Amino acid sequence: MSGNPGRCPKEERLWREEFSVSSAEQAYVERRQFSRFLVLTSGAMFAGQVWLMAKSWVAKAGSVVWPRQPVAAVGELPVGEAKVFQYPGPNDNCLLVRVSETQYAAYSQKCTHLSCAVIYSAEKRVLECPCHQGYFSIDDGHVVQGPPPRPLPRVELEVSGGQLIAKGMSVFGERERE
Amino acid sequence: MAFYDSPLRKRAARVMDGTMLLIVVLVVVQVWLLMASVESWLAGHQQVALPAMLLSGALFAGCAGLLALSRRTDRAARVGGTGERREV
Repeated sequence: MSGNPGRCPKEERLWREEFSVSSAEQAYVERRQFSRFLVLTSGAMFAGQVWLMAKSWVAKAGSVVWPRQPVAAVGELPVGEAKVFQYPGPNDNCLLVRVSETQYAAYSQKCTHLSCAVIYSAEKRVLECPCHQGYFSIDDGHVVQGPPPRPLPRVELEVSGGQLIAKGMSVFGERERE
Repeated sequence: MAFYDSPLRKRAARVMDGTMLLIVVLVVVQVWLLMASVESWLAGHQQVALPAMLLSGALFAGCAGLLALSRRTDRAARVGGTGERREV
């Protein structure tokens, strides 16, 4: 039994005649249509590569201006402790670690695997991602162990007027070239 | 029915299948290439962007060329020997 019980069959036949395209015919995809779709996908992949290249050019031109932001007072943190701060935006969590009496390090807190928050492990001297046991070196942020595919972005720090100032961010590959 | 059994139509169908398969392979390579270059780029190796873009462009040109080839073959099969336009 199909159709609305309140309507007579003749009325329904008329409706079918007016809209005669069936959903099965609509869903049918020809080989040449599928090939065209694949070529469009290929064009989209190429557009993605062009976008990546354009971003590289913009980055090379030095148009990224990092804000200068005080993070903590020198000596505020005990050795082996960490503090969360936001840099460069209010939603970008970073981790400041006092590695030794005189040495500080700051990295993005977002794991490069699946964006879990990393924590500092003072006894192992590594940044640890508790989600999938990824470990990053505290010295330069490179991946020591686990699934993360790339190093943690590092926050560049400067001491000025008794304050630790965040002045930019860099990743491991960029630091290698400098 | 003779049209569907004609060697020209069979050849066109084979060309269509072959090119479609090749295009699938090229697109899969392009997807992998984009993924790998984004990963490298995020890791700070920005020098990979240019060669990856050129290779992706070549693959795209290959896909477009294969599509053009299949359309040409398809058109030739549709027109056939009689000059009459037919749906394959």
